[in-house]
Amino acid sequence: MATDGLHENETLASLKSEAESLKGKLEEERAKLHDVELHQVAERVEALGQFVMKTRRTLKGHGNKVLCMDWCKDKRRIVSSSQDGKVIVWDSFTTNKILTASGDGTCALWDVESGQLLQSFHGHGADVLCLDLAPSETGNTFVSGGCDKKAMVWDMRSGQCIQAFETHESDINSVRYYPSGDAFASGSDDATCRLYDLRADREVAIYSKESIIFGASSVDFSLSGRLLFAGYNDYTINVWDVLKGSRVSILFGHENRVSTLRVSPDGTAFCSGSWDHTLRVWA
Amino acid sequence: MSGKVTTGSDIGQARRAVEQLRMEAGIDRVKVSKAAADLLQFCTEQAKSDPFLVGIPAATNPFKEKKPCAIL
Repeated sequence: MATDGLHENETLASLKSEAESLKGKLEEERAKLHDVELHQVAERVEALGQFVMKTRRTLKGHGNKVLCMDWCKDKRRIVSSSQDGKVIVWDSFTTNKILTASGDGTCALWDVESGQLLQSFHGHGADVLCLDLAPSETGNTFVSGGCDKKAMVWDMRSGQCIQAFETHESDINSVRYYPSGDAFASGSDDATCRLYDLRADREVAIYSKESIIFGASSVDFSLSGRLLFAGYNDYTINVWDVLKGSRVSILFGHENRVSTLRVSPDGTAFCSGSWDHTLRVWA
Repeated sequence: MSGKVTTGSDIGQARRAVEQLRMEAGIDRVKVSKAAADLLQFCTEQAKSDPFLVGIPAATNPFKEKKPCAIL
């Protein structure tokens, strides 16, 4: 009976139980350093003032759901797109490569000119819905989120998963690095957004309210990382104080799900796209 | 007698999962108090250059309406 190198005393059952006990150990190790909550440390920070933001532009013209958008580097134009099965990110330094996430549960790095697959990333247990590249100063990593409720951080060169986080209770629709690169935020169908610190290797904040029961589809940070803008399936946008964990503003205007959201490169505004066929610029 | 046939790939997969978890469990971590303090520091340092926190005068903000009147 050919088994791929079964070592002595090793069975499928024993490997599975070792995996389970390692998961427990991982939780224990993380818990040991959980000496305080982020919002407690943030008590000494000045509270934010009132925010006045409203729709400054409404861009009509799409004939169908807006799913994905981004700002151009010239800071004035907005690019939006409609239906696609994949999430695509351009690496800003070597624009010959594309990083993609797929419904087949993997991510892939491609060379555009040759069409060659340079690296593939396996580890998600279900469709990968989103990804974000680390800010260039922090090296060659990216974070992905999937239908398996996991957020995973990857080394682009080795293809290896460096860290994995499984605290959400449903699909993760959006992930975005904190501007310093030391943390990332996620938005999920479990109606919460969460902040994960990469050096503490754990979730450090949850942004939620009992009154928010619809999934968060898209998240982005303001330039300093103090604010987290999140678009939801209940047509609203919530603005969160990242440090204190509280909501500072709720924005109405869209007439259907908010599907995508991005802060402009100079941080003066953000744009939201919706199933109501419009994009709104908020400032 | 039924029993699940243990294929080579099941074992391989399970072994890889254990290796990955062992690696993740062993990484260096810092305390939340330290990590949080660093997040705070970054926010505070960057706050002055965050237009959403500081605000920019309506005159230079391309998204705000220009007032129709001018002072002569």
